Amino acid sequence: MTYSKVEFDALSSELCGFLRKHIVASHLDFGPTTPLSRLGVDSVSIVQMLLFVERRFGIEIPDSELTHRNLESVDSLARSVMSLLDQGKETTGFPK
Amino acid sequence: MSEFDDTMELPASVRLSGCDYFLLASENGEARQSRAASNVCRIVIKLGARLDAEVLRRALTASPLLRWLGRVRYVPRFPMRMPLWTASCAAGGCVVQEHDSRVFQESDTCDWANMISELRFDSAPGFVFHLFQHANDKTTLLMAWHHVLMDAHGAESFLGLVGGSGNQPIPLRQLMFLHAQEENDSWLREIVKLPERLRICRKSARYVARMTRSPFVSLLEGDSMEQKPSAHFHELSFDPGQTERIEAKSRSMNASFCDSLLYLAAAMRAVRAVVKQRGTLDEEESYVVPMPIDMRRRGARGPVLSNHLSFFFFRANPGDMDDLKDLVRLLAGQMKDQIRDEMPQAFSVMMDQFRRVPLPVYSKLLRGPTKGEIASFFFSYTGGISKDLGRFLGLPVEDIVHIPPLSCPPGLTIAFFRNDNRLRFAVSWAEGCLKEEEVALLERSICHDFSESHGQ
Repeated sequence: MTYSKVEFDALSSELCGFLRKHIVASHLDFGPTTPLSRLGVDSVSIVQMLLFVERRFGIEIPDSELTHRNLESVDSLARSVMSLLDQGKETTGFPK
Repeated sequence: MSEFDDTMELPASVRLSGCDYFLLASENGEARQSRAASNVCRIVIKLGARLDAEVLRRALTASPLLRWLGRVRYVPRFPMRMPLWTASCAAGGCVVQEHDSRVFQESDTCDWANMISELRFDSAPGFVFHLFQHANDKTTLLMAWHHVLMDAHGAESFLGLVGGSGNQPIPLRQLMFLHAQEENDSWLREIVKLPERLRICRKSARYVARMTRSPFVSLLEGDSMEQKPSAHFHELSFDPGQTERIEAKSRSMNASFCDSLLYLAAAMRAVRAVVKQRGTLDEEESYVVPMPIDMRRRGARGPVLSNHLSFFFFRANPGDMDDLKDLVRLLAGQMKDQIRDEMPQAFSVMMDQFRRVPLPVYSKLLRGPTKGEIASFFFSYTGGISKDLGRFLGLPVEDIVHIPPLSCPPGLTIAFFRNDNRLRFAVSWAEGCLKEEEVALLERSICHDFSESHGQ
């Protein structure tokens, strides 16, 4: 099973919204492909984002997923989360 | 000089942040008179050419904003009124002192830093600048400021304004005033918000009390708190290759992408090694370490003035510290729990709320049952520093070192930062807290924990 582009875009935009609301300075202009390091997003902010995703989808992101590549931008994180959600659907029917 | 929107009228005063007032309360009264180094922060900048004192003096007064910052003082007010930073027209600006190069060698960074033991923030400028002119026509600039006035991020923004590193216009409000919304709050709004804020304060107080409960390790011995001990500093730099290996090790340790947790774990184990060597290891005594977290929005250049910090609190028992990887995992779990429960935000609310408590009462509360001991040592990781400070007033910057402030108790601060692809650590300690050979042991222990083969 693979996720649809609509689902992916929705998650990407939700993550951008979270960043804008809670983490990044309001004057910064950014999109889903902007490198997080360029926004000044540090490791503590990344943990905040991960916990938001975990709470939002009821999943646990394994440490093996916390690679530089997966945390490069909002899009790359969204891609990693979508594939985790897919795995969940395949094995447990989750998320409900 | 950086460009910024300087058209907005500068206010006569701005509120102290909750963290400013918290630091002020820790410094207050007799405690202030008897403590080492009085929480002075320092940045040492090695320049590749000579900087004339007059050029720096001119730069420090080149704009209304910089003149305003130089004139800011803390003025005590009636109890229960919001504490304020006030810019007085009568007050003098920043102080610049020039020193002869022959007295110091270029490598004596920590000796220069030791020149400044105390700074006032009420009757004199909270900043001082020392210029050390060397025989090879280079200059070392030391900026020292009292921690109550601003944190390290603010100081870097301030240096950026003075040295002209920024080229984008910066809105003045973004540079200075985090509490813009709060400034507009009426008494009525404050009262309406009070019950919710008190609930958050209770949650935060309970958590802090649980994390900092006795017994925990302290390196201060005997009467070292009674005297006025002098402060000492030491710094170490890892080369880019070593830094890369250390970061790879952090990633392999499931540190939830937080390199700082490996550094903190190594620092805790190093302190335990010192305790062990002293023969005072007690399995009942935990290691308690607060770690500041910058509450500014990421990517923001300001605010410059005031401390915009909250804290994580970490606690580990000696039994949790035998294995480095296990300790990193424990600390990662504690950090995640605190982020999940919004503890740094709650602690911030508590500090903000305490601003209306009279200073002597607040000070007494902080120093209450534990005589001010709330940690085994202080730790900080400021991440990559001075990324924008490649040149200062047109001169090339060769090196920048942050020397962490020291509070006594606990009498020891261990700080890590990254500069120019190099991981660095700096230790500040009070006389009587550590001996020279114990500092060497700290360093050896940390380097050992960072070595590739250990703890994997």
